[in-house]
Amino acid sequence: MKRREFLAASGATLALAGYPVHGFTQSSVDGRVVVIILEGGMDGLTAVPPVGDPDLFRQRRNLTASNALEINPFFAIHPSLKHFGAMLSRNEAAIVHATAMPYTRRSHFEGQNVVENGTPEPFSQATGWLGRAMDLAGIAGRAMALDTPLIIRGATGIDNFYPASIVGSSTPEASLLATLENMHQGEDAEIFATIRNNAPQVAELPRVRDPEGLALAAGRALSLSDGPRVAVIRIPEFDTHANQGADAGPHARLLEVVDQTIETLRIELGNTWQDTIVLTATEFGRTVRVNGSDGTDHGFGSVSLLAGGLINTATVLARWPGLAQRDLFESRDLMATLDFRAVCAACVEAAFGLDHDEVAEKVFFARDIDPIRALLFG
Amino acid sequence: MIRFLFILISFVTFGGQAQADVRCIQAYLAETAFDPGPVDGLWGAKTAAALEGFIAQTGIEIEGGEDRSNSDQICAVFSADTDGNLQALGKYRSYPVAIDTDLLAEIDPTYFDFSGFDLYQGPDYACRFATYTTWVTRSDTYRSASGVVEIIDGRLVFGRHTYTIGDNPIANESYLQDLSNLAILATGQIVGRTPYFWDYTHQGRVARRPHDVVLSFRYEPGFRFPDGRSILRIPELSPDGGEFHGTVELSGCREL
Repeated sequence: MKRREFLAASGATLALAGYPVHGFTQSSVDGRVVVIILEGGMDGLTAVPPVGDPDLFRQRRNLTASNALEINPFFAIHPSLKHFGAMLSRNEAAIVHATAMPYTRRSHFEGQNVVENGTPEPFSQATGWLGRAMDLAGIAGRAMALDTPLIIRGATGIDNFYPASIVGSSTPEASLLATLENMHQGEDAEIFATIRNNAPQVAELPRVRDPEGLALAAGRALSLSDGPRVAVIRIPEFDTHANQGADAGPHARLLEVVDQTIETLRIELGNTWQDTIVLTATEFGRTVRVNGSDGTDHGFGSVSLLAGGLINTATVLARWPGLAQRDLFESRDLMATLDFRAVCAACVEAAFGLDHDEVAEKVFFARDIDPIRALLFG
Repeated sequence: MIRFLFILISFVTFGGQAQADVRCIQAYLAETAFDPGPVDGLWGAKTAAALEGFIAQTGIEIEGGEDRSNSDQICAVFSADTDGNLQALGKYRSYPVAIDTDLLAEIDPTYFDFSGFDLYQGPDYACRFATYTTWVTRSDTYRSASGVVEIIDGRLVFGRHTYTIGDNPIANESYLQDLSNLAILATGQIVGRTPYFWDYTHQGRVARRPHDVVLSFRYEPGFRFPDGRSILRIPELSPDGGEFHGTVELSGCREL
């Protein structure tokens, strides 16, 4: 199955926010932030295996790619992340490992809410951390989304706009028409067969609702001087409880989608890539060991991939907790030793020129967020 | 067994020279991302590596040196860090990325190390270019792309204005920009790498991702930069099992 077909029926979405609004005080900051939300719980140990940890292969031989690309003596990246690897080589990317939101109950619904609201308590906020950061930076705006994602909701009312006709949406997919044809009989089937035969053969066209198509639209919009400052792209399906795979398989294909999404953003952003930070966020990692159906279950610590011209030095930032049994969270998960809010804080500080203490207090409502901007952005 | 334990204890206490200063350093580092191993007062490889890593990342300098022989001074510096500001700099560890060039070539199809080459040093130019594709199986040649190529610091940057997919010409797509990584040498020869984009659609999207094909370009004899023609000849290119040749011609070059 091709990647595009794999995600054809899934619910990838894009929201753009921070379109300048006439009359609103404009921020002087040129930074752009793209958050890619990996829904379902990305397996950070598959994406960025710590090959220098002797317990990695002891614990998860069947889940680790045999041909992972070593980026330093301790860490490697999954071979699906090759464009991201090229960005690392150009000092345009960084990795934060063993990170998670301070939330350990392993529920998708709660976890996804926590990642967006930016506090340890699910459903405790009506706004999201990125929206509050935009408020703090004086970035107004309009969001281009059907529903405004929690993450970009702030105190400033966001004006929603979603075009009724979006590029690519009017072109029926051949596979969908084939399905309709098969569901009908006689004359009805013939009608769908005729439509299918007459439809433009553009099965390979990136469609607006797959992550790469969304990245293309987002990158192009963000590159405009009067365009949005913020984009949020959702990539679902990371909940790989069964047959997760290693070199290939569902998780590897999803990482390829992430890789292509970031690469498409880079290409489409053009020179604006220099002012951009892209970061991935996920509600939790996955169990260290394989489960009974060759997959992994909901865990704790995971990884965040960062890319963009705002990064000056490629690095993997971590306080590595180890993978020996005694080092795992509740004897099963990668321990998260770095609060993901610190990563989010560093990104908005770098992109919007915000002060750390102010971000900690007004965006995350917590004074104990570690300042790691200097470690990530130099 | 008891005798063994006695010997072991003797070793730790006397033979291993457990030191308060070393224990102090270990206890301090144990609160950072640089794991010194057990806080036992014994100087070992883990303690040495952790201290070295911490000092490298934080950039501190300790009078008298940063090794075991100066452990009392190091302990004094760490003990003076009562507000933990120094320790916080080592709370997380930065593992620098060092990707070897072989791996780079594998992960970035356009990676090319120009460092050993004598690149063209003359003025920068902008030229028109056209590519011609000849299908061996169909024996016909058509203009497959055209646009502007800029020669900046010896590097070739292609911006495609038109592109042909199959039999359909697609015009005025100024943002169709190649991600090739090519340069002109002082000799006029062209070296580098490029993925071959052959799947642009209307509105500038790439219908299929670029094939990671490394092309070998040959300098056409007789060409005089910058006014020549046929500077690039792609002798063989079959990214999808097909067979065709491609030629790139430059014309109308003007100095930038």
